[in-house]
Amino acid sequence: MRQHVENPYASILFYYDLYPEHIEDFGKIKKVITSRGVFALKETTMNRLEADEFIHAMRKLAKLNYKQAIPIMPTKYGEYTVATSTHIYYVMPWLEAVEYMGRESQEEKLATQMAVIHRLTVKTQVFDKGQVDESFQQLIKHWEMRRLELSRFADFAERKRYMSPFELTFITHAHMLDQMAIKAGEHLQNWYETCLEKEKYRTVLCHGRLSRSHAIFNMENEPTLLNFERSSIDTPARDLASFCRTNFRYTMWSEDEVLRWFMCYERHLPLLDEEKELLCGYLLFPEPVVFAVESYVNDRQGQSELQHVQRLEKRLISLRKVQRLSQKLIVKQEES
Amino acid sequence: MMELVDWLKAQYGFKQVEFINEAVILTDQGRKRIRSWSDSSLLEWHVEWRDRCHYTPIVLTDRMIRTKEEEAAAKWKEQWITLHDEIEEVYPQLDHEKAWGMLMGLMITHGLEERQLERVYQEELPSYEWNPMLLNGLRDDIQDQLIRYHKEALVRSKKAERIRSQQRKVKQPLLDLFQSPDQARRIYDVLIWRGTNEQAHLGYQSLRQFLINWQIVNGTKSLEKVIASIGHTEAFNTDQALLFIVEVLEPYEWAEVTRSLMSNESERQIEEKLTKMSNEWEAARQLVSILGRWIDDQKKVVT
Repeated sequence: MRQHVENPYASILFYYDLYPEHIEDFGKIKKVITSRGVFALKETTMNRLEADEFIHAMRKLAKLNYKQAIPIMPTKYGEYTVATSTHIYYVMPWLEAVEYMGRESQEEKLATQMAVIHRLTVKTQVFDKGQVDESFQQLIKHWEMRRLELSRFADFAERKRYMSPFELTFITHAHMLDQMAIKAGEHLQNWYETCLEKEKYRTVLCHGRLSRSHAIFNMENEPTLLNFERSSIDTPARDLASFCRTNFRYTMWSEDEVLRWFMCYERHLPLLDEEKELLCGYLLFPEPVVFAVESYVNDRQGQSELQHVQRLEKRLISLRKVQRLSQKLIVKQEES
Repeated sequence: MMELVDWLKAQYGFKQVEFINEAVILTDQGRKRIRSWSDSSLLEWHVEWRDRCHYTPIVLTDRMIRTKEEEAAAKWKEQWITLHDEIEEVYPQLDHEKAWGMLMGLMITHGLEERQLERVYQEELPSYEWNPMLLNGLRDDIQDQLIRYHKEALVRSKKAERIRSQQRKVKQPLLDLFQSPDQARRIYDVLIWRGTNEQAHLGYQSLRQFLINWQIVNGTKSLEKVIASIGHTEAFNTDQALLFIVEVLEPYEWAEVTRSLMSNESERQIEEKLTKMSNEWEAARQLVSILGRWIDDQKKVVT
């Protein structure tokens, strides 16, 4: 709902010499109307380190002459963010969204842009065993903990004489989920061994949470990307996995559509076999179900049993599709 | 002037620049103050403390507005030029003590950090010697007051000296001058502090005089709130409070009166100085007492 708000944003906007005539509240985004034009003020909960990475990413893209990201405006004191004790703010020009009329899906356009950013920032890193081992072991440990949580929930449900609909739905798929977790671990292991053998791996600048809600399409149906707040230097597989997970729902979990995203992506940056392994690992691990279970256990009052079940079912459908998708990705790899 | 207007437009990307007076311009981004600097190390220090002493959205300094090249200053002929916001509304004192104390505390915190400045200013201790013969001819009641204050001034100075020697290893803050409460301006309820382009001052002398005047204008309760707020900032500890007490104990206000006596001013002028001094004397006493209580409170917190 739009509301007329002014404080405390006017004092932040003073850092930009922007004197608001009117501010409209769109949640974390404030639309600021001034005599110098219309601007977007973003209110974030990034910490200092995240803010530094965010600015680093934006500057890097600007330096690489990448034009499809919305620019961040500096304050009159030459900084790109303004920090208070509770929030970090930044300002961008306001872009009005135009209805998307393109023939390709929005996600295909976004996958293309992600690939362009990845291609511009790709770097081959020497496989530093100590460093990679540390993050590899950390991920393995994290997944083991998550698997244990699912197994505990299954034990808890099975001990009950009358299971709730949520528990029943979960138990029906518990074995499949466990198998997926094991498979995810195998893919991760394959990635690790290949990198170890090749003694190198690739990193790129990852957006972190690219989706149609973090893009504005123009009259030419081309996206301008926003919200690089979760950006980091990581493997392309990580960004792609997050992209697939977030955007799967927009395609009604159509594998063919997702395969088209990969085609768009690989036109700019073909994935290496080990990156596909890692991608499959990320995608297969049933983390979304862990979140659904956590939410069911910790937030019983927040949503009805039916809502919890519906959410779980959606995630299970998505994971089944991912299972098939990963087979196609790997088959494709084996065939080639 | 036109040459400077064009230069400012080019450096800062303004579309419009118009001189209001020698130091203030009106631009399409509001009123700005121009400062010029010949000493680059002093300029660097002023950029740094202004950049560091802010707490959004409560306190801000008149930081240097960056040029299009993101520089804090730009070279104009033989000097450096900096540009600052020029805000008209004066920031209130009463009921806004928290923001004032925060500003002072931030400046003290920054002032205690490492710095490399070639020249700093330190107030010399005044001499309290006088010739009693100078009292001749003054009214008896004035003479009595002067004699009494002189004795007490010597006692205060000795106390200050004793604490000073105990605290001689404690680092003193390097501060910009506190000249007047009008340096604080208000926009959207933010305190914007207008710094100077003076030499950096070592120690609490200018803050002492500022807070003595604060007590006279706003009273003891208000001053207590300012000190409490300074006390909440990072670097203001009991050692710093003692250094501050040393400065307040030192009877600078008495030196004013003795100077007046030495220069053979009229009885009326001396009486006026005496009245002003006695107000400051009382305010200084209150300030020492508040700082002393603050130190005691810190000890209670520790124990």
